[in-house]
Order: sequence, then structure tokens, then C-alpha cells
Amino acid sequence: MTEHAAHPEEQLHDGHDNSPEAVKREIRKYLYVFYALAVLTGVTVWVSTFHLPIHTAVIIALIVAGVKGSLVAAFFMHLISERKLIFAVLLLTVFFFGMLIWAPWHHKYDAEREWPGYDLNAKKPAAATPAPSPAEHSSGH
Amino acid sequence: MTAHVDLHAVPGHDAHHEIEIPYTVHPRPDTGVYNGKLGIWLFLASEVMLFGALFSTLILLRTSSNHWPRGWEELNIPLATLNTFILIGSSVTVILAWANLRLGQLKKAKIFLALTLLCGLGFMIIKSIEYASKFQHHHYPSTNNFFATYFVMTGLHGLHVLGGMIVFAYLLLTADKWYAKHRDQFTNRVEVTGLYWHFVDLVWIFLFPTLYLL
Amino acid sequence: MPPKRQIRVGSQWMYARDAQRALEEAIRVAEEERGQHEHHVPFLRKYVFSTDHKWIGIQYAITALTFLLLGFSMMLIMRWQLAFPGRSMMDIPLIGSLLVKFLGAANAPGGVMLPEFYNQLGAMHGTVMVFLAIVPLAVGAFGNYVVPLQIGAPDMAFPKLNMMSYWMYLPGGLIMLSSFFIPGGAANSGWTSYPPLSVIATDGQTVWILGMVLLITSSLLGSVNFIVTIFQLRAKGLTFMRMPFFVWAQLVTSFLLLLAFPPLEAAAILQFMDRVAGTSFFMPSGLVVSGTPLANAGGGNPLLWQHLFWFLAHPEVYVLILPGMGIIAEVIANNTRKPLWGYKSLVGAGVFLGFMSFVVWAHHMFMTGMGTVISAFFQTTTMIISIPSVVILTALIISLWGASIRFTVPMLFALAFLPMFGIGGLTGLPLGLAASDIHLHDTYYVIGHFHYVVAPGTIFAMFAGIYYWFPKATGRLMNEKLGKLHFWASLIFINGVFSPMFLQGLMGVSRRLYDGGAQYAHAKPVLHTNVFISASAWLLLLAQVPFIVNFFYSMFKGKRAGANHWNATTIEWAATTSPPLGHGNFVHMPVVYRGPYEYSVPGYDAADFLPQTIPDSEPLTPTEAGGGMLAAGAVAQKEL
Repeated sequence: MTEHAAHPEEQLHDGHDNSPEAVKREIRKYLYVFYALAVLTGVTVWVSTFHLPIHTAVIIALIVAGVKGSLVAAFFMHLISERKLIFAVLLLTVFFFGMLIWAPWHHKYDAEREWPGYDLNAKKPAAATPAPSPAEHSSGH
Repeated sequence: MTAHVDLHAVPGHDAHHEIEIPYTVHPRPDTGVYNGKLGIWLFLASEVMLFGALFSTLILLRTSSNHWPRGWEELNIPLATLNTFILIGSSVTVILAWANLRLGQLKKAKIFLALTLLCGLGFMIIKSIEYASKFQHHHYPSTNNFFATYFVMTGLHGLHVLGGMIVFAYLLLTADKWYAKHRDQFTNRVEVTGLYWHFVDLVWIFLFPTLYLL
Repeated sequence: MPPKRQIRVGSQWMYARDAQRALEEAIRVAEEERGQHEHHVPFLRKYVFSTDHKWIGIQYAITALTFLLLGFSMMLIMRWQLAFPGRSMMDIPLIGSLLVKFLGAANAPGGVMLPEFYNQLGAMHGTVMVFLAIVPLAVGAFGNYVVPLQIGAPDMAFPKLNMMSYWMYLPGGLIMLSSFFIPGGAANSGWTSYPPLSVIATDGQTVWILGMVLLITSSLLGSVNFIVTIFQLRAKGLTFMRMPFFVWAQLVTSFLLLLAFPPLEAAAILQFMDRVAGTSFFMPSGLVVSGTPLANAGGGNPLLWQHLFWFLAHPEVYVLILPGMGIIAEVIANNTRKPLWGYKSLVGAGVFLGFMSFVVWAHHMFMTGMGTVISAFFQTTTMIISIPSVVILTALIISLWGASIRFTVPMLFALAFLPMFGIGGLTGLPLGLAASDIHLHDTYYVIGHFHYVVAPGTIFAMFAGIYYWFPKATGRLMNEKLGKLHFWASLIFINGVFSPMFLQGLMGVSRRLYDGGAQYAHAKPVLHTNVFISASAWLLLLAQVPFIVNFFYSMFKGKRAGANHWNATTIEWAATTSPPLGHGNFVHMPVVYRGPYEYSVPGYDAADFLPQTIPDSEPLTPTEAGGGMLAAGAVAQKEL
């Protein structure tokens, strides 16, 4: 087990600048990101103690989580300096992720607008009927 | 097929010969990445889709539901907040491990790897305490969909933490041997595992507020 | 003066082709001599847990073809019940009593198939064919064997991961099949496993889920491997636009597998929890089973499963077809002796197809009470996705124009693929339009449509690939007469099986009926077609006998082939015949100088093909380019 500081000739050739100064600068960056993440975590927990109504709470939580996530992705995962190829793969993934999040919810939303009594779980009782039975509506296979 | 047959260039007749896969350690010029790095990002893309499906499930079930508790009504926020700090801390320790390898400081790197592993262990212990308390109060996945999604999403995430811990343990145990023989490849392996670990942290950054704070 | 166009090997002068043969012989001898000591690879490491992509490809091929035969057999048994509902299988000539004894009284008391068993066969037929046979064959076998060779790589990027992929596939498949032997039998809720039925089904469904998790993991590891290999290990000079279309097809396919499978994995976990832990992800409130209300919490949504399932299963059908299209493209280019028409269009269409495949899935759900906005969205995307399919088919058809067609056995299958896939594709249009789908959804029309695309479509492409690459993998030729018999018989009988199904569907015969529609008045006029279909299916099985015999016999006793029997241009043909395992693939790592389909190059008269790896400065005669069908004649000419 040899202990040695990396001389320029011994540096890794992995696409990064591995000189001691560059790496130490990066380490400082990582620590700043850590402090930011810690603060933001505190903020998001503190905001939750207000017990805000659900829609407001969702928006604030997503914004804070989005900022935290971006910091982790950009700096810890080096996305900010990563190759186009990786970006392209991730962009594609994000688009499909969006489709997956949107479609099932929109299906339900769309159907409830157009098919009275569609709700399987009797969320809103159908007008004038005292006890709607969800099993009556055969919606789908 | 050329007209010149070079009898000395036939591979496989050296006792120590192994097929050399190019770009295992050094990046390929036109793509700019080495194999493992592209591989792990592709894997992480698939993981985005996996957790995405679960988030989609949560959104659909929650918006369809008559009564869905707010996070603070049912879950232990202080413990989960502590877990969040632990996981974020472990993200820092793993990247410091990798940075130290780049500086040639194996001993420091091993310490940071061990700290990462410890953080992971801490996360799992706190998670077990949380689960145990839920079971004590007779809250199981079958109780209702709030708990079903809670257990499945945190459970799957926990399995991913466990998986990462196993890899870190392996890296730690074999660090000396690997660093001595294949320093660059070992550094890359730590980087790649670190990327996976940061993703696990990233999922928690979204999972924590979604389940506990909304 | 040295003889013209000969090279010196040791103390002899010989043609390069003969030098290649001599070299291979020398390697073989040296192998045997040295094999025993320092270079000895244990049998387990070499043939069982191999990390060599060629051997893994062969493992996948043998396993997948076996599953293909098993899945086919399940359907053949079902077809008895459909042709002669309620009739005992003891009446089957020759094998009747053996079959009934094998199936047992639990499945077919007195030889009469129980509906429960029919459902098991139906669900497992679909599962085995899609997940255990076609995809492992198209991607695991052909992809693994050919892609590294076609890009000039020594192996896949992650050989050990490749080995793990296979060793998750085989146990996954075996676990699934083992469910036939547990109480309650195998999964029986269709390959689509819709809840709530699948949640209350027998234990076989849980085994199905466990098998699926293993298969999905295997697929994910494989797709990462393929993408990294294609991006990172291309030979020098092999730009993306010089890659054979087969490699492009595998690249797009791998992206589909990578990003589409995880939601199904998530859904499988959720269904597992519903079945085993009593959760209600997919179980709505108020369910009553056989008069007893279910004791679960409720509040779930069965349509959630459908969304997550079809999010995978639609891209999955493009996974089923794309590698096949890739094989057809290679075979057509090679046997028309001219470049493919519209290479850029093919590539663009393939990539666009892959992308669009992620945004069409709910056309499988038009009958689930979707609102007009979301229905219109998915109908539109479905119509759009038919365009790249047509582009690909058209490019392949136009490639035949002005060609010197060689009617080899691979080419026969490739030519048949074109109209068969055309029928399959066109019959999909009324299904993709929400209005006409109202009448056709869940009828035999759907079965006819998708089988036309997969059976005379993909499976014919797989046969073309086997006949085409057999000489490369084994160094021997398959018998041509048997191949032609296999082709014509399969073509005739496969059409006999699937074409009447369109009629049945239009008349309203539903799918998954264990008596083939016998109890419905509206099915009466077309009931007799069930006998015709079943007879065609059994004859189709017979048609595979020449293939099976040919395959195994030729492996050991077939006529010897040169390294480039078909006089092809792509890089895999520059490797030695039947490249040895564990030695990398090429004597020299290849360098690429041109595109993949340089056939009949204007101004180049020495041959009607110019391989990708021949340097510009030294074009060679076919003899030196590695021998093959033409070379034997050319050598004979020279020696006269």
C-alpha cells in the first residue's frame, strides 16, 4: 500500500483534470453544495410545519426538492461538465418519465369529466342515488 | 481479410492472455466516456423509470382517494429528517473518497469509503426503527394505500441502499489489492459506484418530502 | 519470381484463402497440443459460465428455440379444444393416450381439457413466446453473436455481465414453466395479467411474477451491455452511418428494453404485494368474489396496472420486430447484390419508431372508458407511428428493384417477410383507430393481426437469420433442399393458421374463449374455420421437422463453408469461420473504409462486392477476399 501525492506524470487520464489544485478546488465546491443541501433540507421541513393546504405544499416541496436534486446531479454527479451523450440519454428519459407520470392521472381526470359515476371508489356519490355501487360500471377489462 | 497473414499476431497463445476490451479505463475520444461510466448512466436512466412508475402510482392513488392522511399525521418526520441528513452526508463522503483517490491518497479514500458505508448502515437502522414502530401500531402495507405506497417506496429505496452498501463493502475489502495492481480502474469503479449512490440520494430527496411532508 | 497473387506461408507459396485455411488448421493443432496445460480453460468456465459473446449467443439460441417449440406445443394442444370443443384428447391419433397421461386428471379428466387448464395454456403460451422465446432469440442470440462481430469488437463491453444476463434468463424461464406443476397450475389470467382477476388467481401467478422479475433483470443487464458496446467498441473507421442496419436495429431495441421494462417491474412488485401482502394497489373498493366480499382495504385502481403493463408491452412489440427487420435488411442487401435503398431513411425511421413506441401504449386501452382527449391523443400517435414502419417496409421493397436476386433459403424467408409483415401492419390500422376498435377489440381479429407480425413476420426473419449466419457460426452449410421444403411448407400452413382469424374477429368471436365461440350464436357461421386453423397448425409443426433435422445434422455433417460463404460485405464475414471461443474475434482488429452495403460498386470489376474492411489501396479478387460461393468457381477458372 503506497501513499503518494499524484505527480503530473502519475495522474489519471480519465477525462478529468486530476492535478492537486484542481481536485482541491472541487472538494471545496462539494462542501459548499453540502451546506446548501443541509440548509434546504431544514427549510423544507420547517415549511411543512405550517401545514399548508395540499396544492401550495406540493408546489413548494417540489421546488425545494428540485433545487436540491439539481445540486446533487450537477455537482456530485458532474452533470454540469458531462458529455452530450449522457445528457441526451437523460433528456430522453425525462421525457418518457413525464409521459408515465401524466398519462394514468390524466386518464382518470378525463374520464371523470366525461363519464358520470366513473369513479370506482365512490368518491362522489352519483346524483339522486343514495348508495351507488361501483361494481355496476364495467369500465375496462 | 488481407493478403498478409501474420503468424505472430494470433491471439490466445500467451498463457496470461485475456481479451482486452478497449476503453475500460480510459475514455474513448469521440464519446468522451469510458465504458463503465456510460453503463452506469444507462442503468440510472432505467432506475428513473422504475421509481417514476411508483411516483405515478402514488399520484394516481392519492388523487383518487377519499381520505389520504397528511404526512405528519402518520409518519415520524424527525427520524426521517435525520435520515435525510445522513444520506446527504454519505453522498459527500463518497465523492471525497473518489477525490482522494485522484490525489493518490488511498488511506484517506478508504476512510471516506468506510464513512459512507457507516452512513448507509445508520440509514437502514433508523429505517428499521421506523418500520418497527409502524408495525407496533398495527400499520401494515395492507392497512390502506397510504401505508402501502409508503412501505413499497421506502422499501424499494432501502433495498437500493442495501445494494450500494454491499458494493462499498466489497470495494473497501479489496481496495489495497486493486489499487496496487489497477489503480485507474479502481478509481473508476469508485466513481461509478458513487454515481449510483448519488442517485439513491437523489431519489430520497424527492421521496422524503413526497411521503412525509405533504 | 513468386507466383502472382500468392503469399508466402512458411516455406510454401499459396493463395490467401488457402493460407487462411492452413492457419486455422495450425491453430487447431496447436490448440490441441497446448490445450492440456497452460491454456486449459475448465469446461464449466468455457461452456457453462462462458463470458464469450459467441458462446452466450449460442446458449441463448438453443434455449430460446427450445422455449419456442414448447410455447408452440402449448398452442397445439389448445387448438384441439378449439377445433373439437369438449372432445377427449384420447381421440388424437398416435399420441393421444400418452398426452392425456402426461397432462393428468387435474388438467384434463378423461382427456377433456378443463377451462382452467385452457386458461393456463393461453397465458403461458403468450408469456413463453414473447418473453422466453422471441426476444431472447432476436436480442440474446442474434444480438449477442452478431453485433460485436459486425462492429469489429473483440467481445461485448461487459462480458461477465453478459454471462449473468443468460444465467438470469434460464432460471427465470424454468421457474415460470415449473408453475405448471404446482397446485392450481400455472398463471391463467392471460399474458397481460390484468387485476383484479390476476390478484385473486392461483399461486401460479405469483410464480409468474417472480419469473418476470428475473427475466426483466436479465433484459436490463443485456440492454446496458448492448448500448455501451455499440457506442464504445466500434472498430476504427466505423462511424454510425457506416453501421449495418442490423446494428442500428439492435441499438434502438436496447433503448426500448432499457427504458420501458422498469415500469413493468414496478407493477410486478405492486401486484406481488397485492397478492401476498394484502395491499390494494389494483383492487378497487367493494369487490365481491364468489359471493364473499373481499377483506382488503380497497381504494386501488385496476387501470393503473394496465397503464404500467402496456407502457412496457407496447415498446415490447417493437422489440419483437426491429431485430427481425435488421436481419431482413442484411439478407436482402446480400442477396440482391446491390446497396439497400434509402439507408438513411431506414435509420431515421428506426430511431423515430423507437421514440414513438413510448407514446402510443393506451391504444390497448381504448375500451376502458377513456375520455375523448386522451383517446384522441393516443389514436393520433398510433397513426403517426405507422409511418416509420411503412418507410422501412417500402425501403426494403424498393431495394429489390433492379436487383440480381439470389433465391437462397435466407432470401426466400426475407422475401416472404415483406408481404406478411405488410398484412400484419395494415391489419393493425383498424385497431389503432378508436372507433373501429370498438368492434374489434379483444376479438380474434387482434390475434390474427399480432400473429401475422410476429409469426410469418419475426419468426420468418429469425429463420432467415439462422440459415444466413449458420455457416459463420459453425463453418458448415445447412442443406438447401430441406431449407426450401421448410420454407414453403411453413409459409403455406402459417397463412392457413392466421388468415381465417380476421374473419372470425370481424364476426365478433372473442379471444380467450375455451370453446372457440361454440356457445355463441354469432360465431356459428365461422365455427368450422376452427378445424381448418387447427389442422394448419398441426401441419405447421410437421413443417418444422425438416428444419430441426437440418439444423442438428448440418452442425456435424454439413458441407464445409468458407469464412465468407455468401460473399457479404459486413465485418462479421471478415472473421475466421466459426471464430474460436475466448480468443477475441479477429486475427487483426479490423479497420473500416466504407459503408456496409458496397455491392456492385461501379468501376470495381474484380467482384460484385467490396467488404467494409478492405483498404482502398488494395482491392482483391473474391478468392483472396476469403472464398465462398463464387470463389470456388473462380479458382477453378484460374486453374484451367
